[in-house]
Amino acid sequence: MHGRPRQRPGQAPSPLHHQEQAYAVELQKLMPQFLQSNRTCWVFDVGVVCSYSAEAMNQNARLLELNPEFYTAWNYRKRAVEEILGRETDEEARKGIAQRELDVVVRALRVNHKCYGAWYHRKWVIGLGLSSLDAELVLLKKLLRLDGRNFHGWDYRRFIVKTKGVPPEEAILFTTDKINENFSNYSAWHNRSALLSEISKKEGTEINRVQAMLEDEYDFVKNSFYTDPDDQSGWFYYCWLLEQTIALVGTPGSDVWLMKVLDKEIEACRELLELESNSKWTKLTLARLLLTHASYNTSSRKSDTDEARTHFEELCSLDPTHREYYQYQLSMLSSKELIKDRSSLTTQHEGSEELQLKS
Amino acid sequence: MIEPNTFDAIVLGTGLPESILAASIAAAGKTVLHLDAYEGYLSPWASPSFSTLSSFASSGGCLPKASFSAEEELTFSPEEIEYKILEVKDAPALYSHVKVSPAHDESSLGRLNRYSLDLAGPKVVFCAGPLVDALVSAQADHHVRFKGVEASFIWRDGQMTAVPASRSDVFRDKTLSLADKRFLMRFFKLVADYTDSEGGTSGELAAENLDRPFVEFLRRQQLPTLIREIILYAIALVDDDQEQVSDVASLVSTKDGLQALALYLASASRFPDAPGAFLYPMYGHGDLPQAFCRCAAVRGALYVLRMPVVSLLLDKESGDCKGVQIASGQVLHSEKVIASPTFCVEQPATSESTPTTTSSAVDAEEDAHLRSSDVPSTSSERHETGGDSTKVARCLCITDQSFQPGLSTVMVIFPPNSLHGRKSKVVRALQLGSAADVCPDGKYIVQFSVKCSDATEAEETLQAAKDALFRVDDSEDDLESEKPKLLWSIFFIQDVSNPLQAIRGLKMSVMPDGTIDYRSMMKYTETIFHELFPEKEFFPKLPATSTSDEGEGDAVADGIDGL
Repeated sequence: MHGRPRQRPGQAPSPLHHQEQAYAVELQKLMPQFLQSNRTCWVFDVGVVCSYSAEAMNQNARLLELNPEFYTAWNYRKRAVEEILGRETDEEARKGIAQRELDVVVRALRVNHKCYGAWYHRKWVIGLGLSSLDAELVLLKKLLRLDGRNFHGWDYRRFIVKTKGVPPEEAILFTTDKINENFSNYSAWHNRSALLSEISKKEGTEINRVQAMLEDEYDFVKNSFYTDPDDQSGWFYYCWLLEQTIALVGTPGSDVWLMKVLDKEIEACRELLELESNSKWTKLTLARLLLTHASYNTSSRKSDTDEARTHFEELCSLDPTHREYYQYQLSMLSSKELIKDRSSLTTQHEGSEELQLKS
Repeated sequence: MIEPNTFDAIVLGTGLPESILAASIAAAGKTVLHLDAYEGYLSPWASPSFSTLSSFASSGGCLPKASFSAEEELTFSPEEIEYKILEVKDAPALYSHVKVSPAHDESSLGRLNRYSLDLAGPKVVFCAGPLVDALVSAQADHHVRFKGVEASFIWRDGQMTAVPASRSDVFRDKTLSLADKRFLMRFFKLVADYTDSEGGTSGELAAENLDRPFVEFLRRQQLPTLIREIILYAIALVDDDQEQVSDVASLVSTKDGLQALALYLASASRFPDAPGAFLYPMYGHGDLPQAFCRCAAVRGALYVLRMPVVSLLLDKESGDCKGVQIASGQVLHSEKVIASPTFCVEQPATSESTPTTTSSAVDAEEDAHLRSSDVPSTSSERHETGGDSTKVARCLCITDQSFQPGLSTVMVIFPPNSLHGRKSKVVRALQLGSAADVCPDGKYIVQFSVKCSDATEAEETLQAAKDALFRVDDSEDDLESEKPKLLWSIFFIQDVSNPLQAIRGLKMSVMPDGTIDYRSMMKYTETIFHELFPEKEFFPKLPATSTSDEGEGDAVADGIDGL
């Protein structure tokens, strides 16, 4: 490995080497034993009831601690647990069996906390319905404090929240806490967006409530880019919010509301741009807001588009890495106008007729 | 008998600066004798128990001494000792105006033996400050554990406002406007850039601007008043009013202000497990001197505790320091003596005034003089008599609940003139709970301090600060009843001036001053070390070992609670 001196011949090996060697020796010893028990249980599967001995289970647990990525061993455990639970009727003992599995998973996760097999096994054990879900939430809180962006942890949290039936309104508070701790946390923002969609899609949620919720979110996320305009996580969430806002178009009363929101947000971005004239994300978001505004408000279309164009032009030099993207946006703007100009020439007459019909 | 009887340095008293000096001198490979007259490392830097503090109070502010009884009487006649002898006495009136209330009711305080009350409180330690560096290089970090200060508040308009001092604090703060958030963060960035550039900055931070007042620099940054107050008093921990300046010397320069902020930011990010920039030593500040003493002892320093020193010995010709005589009568030799400011040494008579008298005659004469006069004019000339900077008023309170529900270790800054209807100096308060192991469960200690030029004024100022945080008993107000109840308190005024002395080889260390951290003490200590041992390095950096190359200070981080 880099930065470590080469070991000279005759020199005593490092303690780490000893550790690795001991690991290899143990693995070599356990593997055939495990394969043996795995094979026998397959043979016995046909007809005869197989007994998963305590010794075999302990060996298996130790093996998984040495190598948590070994799927076959996890599968062996699942079959074993199913078989053992099938024989056991005492509720306390059944809970104990489930707890033992959770402990095996924890030991494996200590070795590698990003091990898919171990996380899957935990989900499977929880699915048996023999364990306390609150204890899982406490554990997750600890894990996510140590590693706030561990996506296994977040994924598992979503699973627990769903299993437990925690209402999204309550689950969202946890994301608020995590974001307050450190707002550069995509996982937390993402989870928040998922929960918000869940709330707004719930049957019987009034449109006013969704609107109020989105407005609160705008105010919340704005703190992130006033604190650090170069941090992307808040801006990404903001883009998602904008999408949600547009998605409401068509529902009663939303069109007026949309214009109100857009005006307010454009104003906020302009204010921030006054303080931070070179902020790439502020410019880009402002340009996007302006274009959205333009597409719903014909009266200011020209001025909005022109302003957006100057922002894109400035972005080309401000952020040369993404110049091609900005130029593409600019060309889209030009071609749209071109089409519009042409169509307006041909459809002007029809358009005025339509207006007359409406009035 | 103490064997050997000659040392490179003799240290008297086990206050923090003396203990750090003992450890640093021992670490430099020199022989050290460390003597202490008090029981259990008692000093103005100690965290005495409730009973010790009570006897301190009942004696009107004297640190109780260990009783010394000589096991073997050794006598040396003055003829045998070829030195001029100066008597070593206790410094008079280090503490005054000691008041305990209620005086005789301790029933509500719970288990009294669980209290450790910092005589030097309130004080906190910067995570990236010189004291932590010294602890790490002295390998004293294994002996101390820390608790992080959980939050800081600033008192404004009659209420506590959280100090937004980190990125996430600024994000979640609900009192600042969005534009203020941007100003504050931009300011932090400026400080970070200044730190990274190591002084080679231009523009606003060009060298010629760095000597101008910090407060003017803050004004130029368009920072609103609230943010300016937060930066000055709660983050840079400035001691004096910067807006209405009575004395130009109390104006902090831009350079010093920026350095304080840089230290703050470095501290906030040093240990991931510390919630903020400040640490508080578990079991009180009194654990710090003991940690350094242990390190000194490990490196061969000789410790003789409960041993009073009776006199200082000078060379008859040159008047240079030659050693001390202890209560047992034994003479111990060293050309370098460091004494705690709790001692005072008579000033040597100048050769003009007493050209012919022998040293013993001088003693007799001066003793007579002392008895005849209440003013100990011969024994304690101190720097800067009178004026603002020589005294600090402290108050230690015991309460029944935290003034911030859910938080235990909390700092509150009262900026100048923030206590309504009063003209006041900066007041600091630090709350500690049983989490820091300085009081029983369910009780809290709140320490206050303010610089003091007038005893009555200082007492009234601290009373106003106490009224702000604690419940007024008779009040019917609902808001009042949520505040903690004050169960017990002790008020005293402490002298922070340093004894003047002109004897070569004798160094007086310092009393705890009015600042809330240890920067000034460390600076002074390092200066003394270099004056005594100019050729040696003050706590040389440890060579990086393979186990600790992830960064020094890991052990300290491990010591922080809540891992």
